[in-house]
Amino acid sequence: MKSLISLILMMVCCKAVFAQGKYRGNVIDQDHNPIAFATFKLEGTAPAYRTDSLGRFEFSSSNAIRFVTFSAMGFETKSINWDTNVTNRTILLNRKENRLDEVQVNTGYQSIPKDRATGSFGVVSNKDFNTIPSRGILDRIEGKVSGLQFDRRSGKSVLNIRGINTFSELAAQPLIVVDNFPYDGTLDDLNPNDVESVSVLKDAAASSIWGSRAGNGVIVVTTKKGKAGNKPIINFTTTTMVSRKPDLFYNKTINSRDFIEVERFLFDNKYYDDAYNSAYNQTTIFSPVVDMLYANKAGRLSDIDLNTRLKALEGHDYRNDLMKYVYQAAINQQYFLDISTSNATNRNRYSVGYDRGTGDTKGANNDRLTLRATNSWKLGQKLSIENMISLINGRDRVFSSTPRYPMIPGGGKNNLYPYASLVDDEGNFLSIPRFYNSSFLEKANADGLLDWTYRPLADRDKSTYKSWNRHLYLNFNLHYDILPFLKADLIYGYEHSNTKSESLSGEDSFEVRDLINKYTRIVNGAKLYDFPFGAIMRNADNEMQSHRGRVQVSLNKSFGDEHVLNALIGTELYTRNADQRSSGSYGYNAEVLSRKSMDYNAIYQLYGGLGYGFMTPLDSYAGTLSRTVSMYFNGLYEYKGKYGLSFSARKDAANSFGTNINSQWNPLWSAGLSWQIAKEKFMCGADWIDYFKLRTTFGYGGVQPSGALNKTVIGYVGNAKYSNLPYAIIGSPPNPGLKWETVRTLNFGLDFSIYGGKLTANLDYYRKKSFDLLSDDPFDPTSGYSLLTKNVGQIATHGIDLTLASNGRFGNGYWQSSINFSYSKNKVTDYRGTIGATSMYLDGGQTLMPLLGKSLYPVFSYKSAGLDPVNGDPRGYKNGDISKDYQALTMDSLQYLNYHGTALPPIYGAWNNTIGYGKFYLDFSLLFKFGHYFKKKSIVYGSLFDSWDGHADFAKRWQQPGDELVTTVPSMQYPNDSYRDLFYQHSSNNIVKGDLIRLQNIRLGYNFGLSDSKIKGQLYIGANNVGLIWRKNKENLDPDYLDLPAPRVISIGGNINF
Amino acid sequence: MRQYIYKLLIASLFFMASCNKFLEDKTNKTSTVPSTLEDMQALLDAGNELNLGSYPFFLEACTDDFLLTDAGYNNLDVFDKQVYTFQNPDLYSATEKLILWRDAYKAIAIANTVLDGLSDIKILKGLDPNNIKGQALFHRAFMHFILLQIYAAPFDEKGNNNVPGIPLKLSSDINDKTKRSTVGECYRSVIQDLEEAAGLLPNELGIVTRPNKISAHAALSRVYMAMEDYGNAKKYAELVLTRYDKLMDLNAMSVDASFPYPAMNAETLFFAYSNGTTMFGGSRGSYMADDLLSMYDTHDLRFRANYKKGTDGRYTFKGHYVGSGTYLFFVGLTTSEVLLNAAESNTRLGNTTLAKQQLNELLQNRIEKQFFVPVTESNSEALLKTIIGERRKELVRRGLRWSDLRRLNKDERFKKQIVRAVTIDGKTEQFKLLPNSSGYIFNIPAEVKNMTGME
Repeated sequence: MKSLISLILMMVCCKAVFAQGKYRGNVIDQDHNPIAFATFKLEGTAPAYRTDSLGRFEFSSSNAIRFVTFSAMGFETKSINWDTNVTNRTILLNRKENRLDEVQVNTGYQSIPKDRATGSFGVVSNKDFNTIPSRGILDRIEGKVSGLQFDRRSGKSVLNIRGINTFSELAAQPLIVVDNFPYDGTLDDLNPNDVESVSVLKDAAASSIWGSRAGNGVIVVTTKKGKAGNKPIINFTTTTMVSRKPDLFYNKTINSRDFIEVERFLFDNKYYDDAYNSAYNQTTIFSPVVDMLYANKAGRLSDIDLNTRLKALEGHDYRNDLMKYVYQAAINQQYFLDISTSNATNRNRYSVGYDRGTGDTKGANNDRLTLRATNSWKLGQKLSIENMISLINGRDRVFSSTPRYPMIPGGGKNNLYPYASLVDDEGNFLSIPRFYNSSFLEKANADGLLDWTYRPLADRDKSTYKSWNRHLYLNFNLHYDILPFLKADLIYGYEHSNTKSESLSGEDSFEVRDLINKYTRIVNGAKLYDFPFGAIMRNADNEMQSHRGRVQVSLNKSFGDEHVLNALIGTELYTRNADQRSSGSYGYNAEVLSRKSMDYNAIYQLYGGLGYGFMTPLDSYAGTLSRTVSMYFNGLYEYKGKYGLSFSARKDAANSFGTNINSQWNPLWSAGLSWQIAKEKFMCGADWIDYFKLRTTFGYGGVQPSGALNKTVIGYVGNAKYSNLPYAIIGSPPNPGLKWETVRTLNFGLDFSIYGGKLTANLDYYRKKSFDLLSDDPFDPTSGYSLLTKNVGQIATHGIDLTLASNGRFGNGYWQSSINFSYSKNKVTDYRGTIGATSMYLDGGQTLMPLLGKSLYPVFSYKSAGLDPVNGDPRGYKNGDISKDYQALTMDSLQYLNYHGTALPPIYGAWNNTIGYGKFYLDFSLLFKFGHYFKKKSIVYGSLFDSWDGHADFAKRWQQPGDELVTTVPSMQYPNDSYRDLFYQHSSNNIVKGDLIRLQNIRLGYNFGLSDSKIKGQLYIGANNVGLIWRKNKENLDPDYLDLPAPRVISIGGNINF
Repeated sequence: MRQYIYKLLIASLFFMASCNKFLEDKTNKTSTVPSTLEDMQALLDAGNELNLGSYPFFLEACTDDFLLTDAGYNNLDVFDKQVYTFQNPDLYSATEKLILWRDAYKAIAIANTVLDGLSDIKILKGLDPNNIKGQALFHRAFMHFILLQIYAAPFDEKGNNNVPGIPLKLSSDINDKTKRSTVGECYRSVIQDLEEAAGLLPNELGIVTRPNKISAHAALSRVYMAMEDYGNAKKYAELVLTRYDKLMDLNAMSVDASFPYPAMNAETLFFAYSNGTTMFGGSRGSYMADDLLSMYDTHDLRFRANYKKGTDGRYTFKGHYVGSGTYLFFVGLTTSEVLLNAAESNTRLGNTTLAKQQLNELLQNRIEKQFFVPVTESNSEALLKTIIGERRKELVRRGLRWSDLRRLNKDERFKKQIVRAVTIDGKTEQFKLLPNSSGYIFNIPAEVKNMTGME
């Protein structure tokens, strides 16, 4: 066989040569993998030659050659003093330290050179991966790959690759794979220092090997393996990150003076009278100001005293107390050590990482220990074994009773009155109302119940939450070379994670005191406590185990001079079992570990007319079991090293239960073509072009549906009220005839590299169509269901991904720069579902809300006609006329509303830079997002009146004629008209453009190395989430976040290796 | 080398062949395709989907028992304002009221799922399938009956019941066409379901969140009262009383307590309630009407048990048979209701002696012991007035006043006009609900009519 291979040699760029001396060889990397299409030049001759797809080369020369220069993208250029007596030699090229482009992409099934692929891949190299220090993995890849978007509006990172392909947010997530298999643990628990690179699989050809889970794209995380080399390599890394305290003042809420003014206004309008005088107002809370106003009215508080006391309150803002006593700057420290050793038959890497940190509230802390070992052995000529074992041990602790902003006091209120003081001048912790009003508490106090006041700062450390998680990951890969060109792999992966938590509410915590008091009966003057004294202990134990097995045969063979076939076929089995158990005890005594028994069937009379209550059992069980069986095929055929044809297909079956959906499941496939133009004869003169490729792909991916079944499915959800019997509800009605969702993608791509990698570009244009999308659709409620899952639509998406990278050197300095630009626009092209009420489409694009002809996350508003100059009422348009019929306006049909666009940025990307001079370097990244809209918050009088939830726009409200020229905020009115609120809140006045440019991170570093160069390292200082440097909105809002923006993080760190 | 490939391929084939079994296990361990009698019983024990909350609040929203302060009225959303002022709204979705309709029919859908699913159950062990079937029939009939009180014309015992009733849902097929049956058909179906249920259900009360034979008879008595079929109303009422006739003696209870009647108390035959709405909340400006309060005698313990005076002089309701609550109201069946059904029917049928005996049995548990004087009225006309008066005093917020108004309005002697006044911006506006007017028939949601093409 070897003879066969050595016979197949190929010249790429042919020139007539004299057959005087004929030389051949091959070019390999450190891992002994061939380097395909490396360029080489003979000294003193013009043309450049290339190796073939297997890294082989051949040339002839009539002259006595001396130097041959080999170069390849991502590798150091090497000049060889060619000994003409040697006709066959192997050239080893070293990978560049600061290479711009990672050559290999990992699909989870195979690692392939990126320039041979037909599909569209994005790769985050190790260097790029490490520019943003963070505890988790995903945060590090934002802005590093075009077509990958981070949507952080909800406060969490929601990822999408090239837009959204489905109507359900749950089903819109990309698949995340670590090494070979989808990862079942918490991805952010993996130590980022163990990660080598991340590949993003974007189009059908890249991802369709993942079949029914590939529709949203795939992210493959590749972990580090042992490196080749004779000596052990030791690397130590440490980082300290300090996050700023959360900025509670970012949210512009109504100030104390205005709030008091509103309370007086409502008081004068007798707004509180019904509730204040009611016989049943125990659970309606009143603010201190309202209490004072009633005291004043009853003559118990003089006008002068009232005014002095109100004046004093005006200066308070309880956020100051929270900032001082509750919040802190979170600190995270990382230590990481890894060692890799290798010899001819064996490669190992061992790593240990220890992280510890504090949370953003006092007393919160966490740590994590990660251990990882990878070994590979060559056992004889044909057999090799690779295994990996990883252990993660994490711990988390937080005071669960810590008050957070906004404080929700209950009793019908969503926020606390702003002038609350949590601490007095002497430093004593003060109480605020919670659940009950003060006159009720006075009565309880007189009855001798336990202290029922709520002092948030005193209660802060009364309850704790602790959790421990342990994650074990084993991976075992048996690799056998059946024939030199035919290989078999048997891979087995095992994951086991166990998360335990305990939540202990102390006996003196408000939670427990409240329960004891509520369950106190006064019988003949004596107090009977139905609820046990002691703490409440709640435990949770979540366990997950998964097994995955894969058998794969791969072929890599050349036929004749011009044909190369790469193919793999395999089958895969997956099973994942997860169990959740929770338990707990009342009357828990931590000293002696005793607990009290409860009667869960009894109905207890509650204190003071609070009604009747039950004790809730604390134990419950749940679990899931997922199983999948898959078969897949992937093939790449190359002709003359220039033309590539790829094909891939996959079929899955899953235990989505109660379904025959497997039989409806069509195999998903994709095909692709590539053309390396730079290797064509007509390009021979242009040797400044290193690489030039065109590619196109077409294919299908699937989206796994969530709960669409053809039989009635019921779920046991707990024990019923009053009867305490276990009960079940109908989870979904029988709904036959559903099809699974598919996404069809057509992709055109162009890649080039010129002047030895000084400028590289990847450009992709894609068109996607998602079919048979499932959506919960309004349904005749007489059936008992108001929503029913149906295949109701299609989405068409098109877009561009562009990456431009430059690599310039000047003297001692260099500047590496890359721009990732993404454009992705979607439109719902078919939607047969019923359209919901107009009000459902007015959340400013926070939900997907499919609507024919519109983008997902549509932003709608009522057309505003400005404020009424007479009384400051907001005005809109009804049938083209200015109108104040708010009920009619708010129910107007959607077609008469303003459609602004989408809330998900259609244009986004990043500009990443590294500037180096001597041993110093500076990294920075700018993120940009354009073309989207969001709804800013403003005053909603109803919420202000009823639930104390007010916006600072109150100060800008219309107060007198003429104000309408300078403000859009309506006047305050009593009684409040909820439709007026609704109209203004959702009017075009509050829709703002979201365009922004953010300085995401900046870092200054210093590379050091001892003279003998054996010890190298770097030190750096940097910052993440630095802030917006430009935004379109004038309100100083950060459109990326609906709530508080992520705090700025300052980091300092370094590493050393020898 | 070839044999290796074959071996691998053969191994893979085996592996695929065993897949069907491998893929049979269910995904969510707390879910199941209902396949046992326990599953069916668990569906019927889902109180908050059936009898604990789902009955539409309209059943008590327009009665003459309560009023709202102006501030209370102002706090209502537009839909509730229209309900309160007898405007009979039909656009439900804008204020998210369509779920009221959905929740009511969800209870019926669960009952139908059980009824249709019972026939598929192979393993009949542990529980009695007849009992489960009886419970499902009961729930379906009871909800249909409540909906008839809201969305359909009152039953006309003189004949013409071919007017639109409600959509009767007798199948769990979600694609079953929704159409209105006539009032006559609807009542026939309700009676048929209840009679069948009575034949299947156990004789004892058991846990009163579940229906039983006694409550099925009590429900039949209630239905026949609404149909003015006093013969049958009496028959079923007395069937109940021969089996179970316990009453709570208010003399022995702390009537001044915040909520004097416990949940699932001794009088409860079937425990059911509606979640109600804010317009029933004392702290939301709801107060009881003077003409109701003035009916109670000084020594009537029900006054102290049912009402509490606020600091502004308004009386709010606290006599919930649910045990507590601010917005919710009881809809279930009780011995006190059954006694009043029997007494009224007997009076109308001429059995005044028996009627007085039944009435006095109730009243001696309601009036302070030392002041209790048995009713001795011999004039049947006067006795009927007394009993109907007692019926109103006894069954406040028990889901019956609306049915009674609809029934009694047909009788010249008892018809009543309800007036509510609301002051907005200093202007007082009066709203009237005339006897036998269309205001007594709520509009089926326009959204449902649009979706189904129903009239």
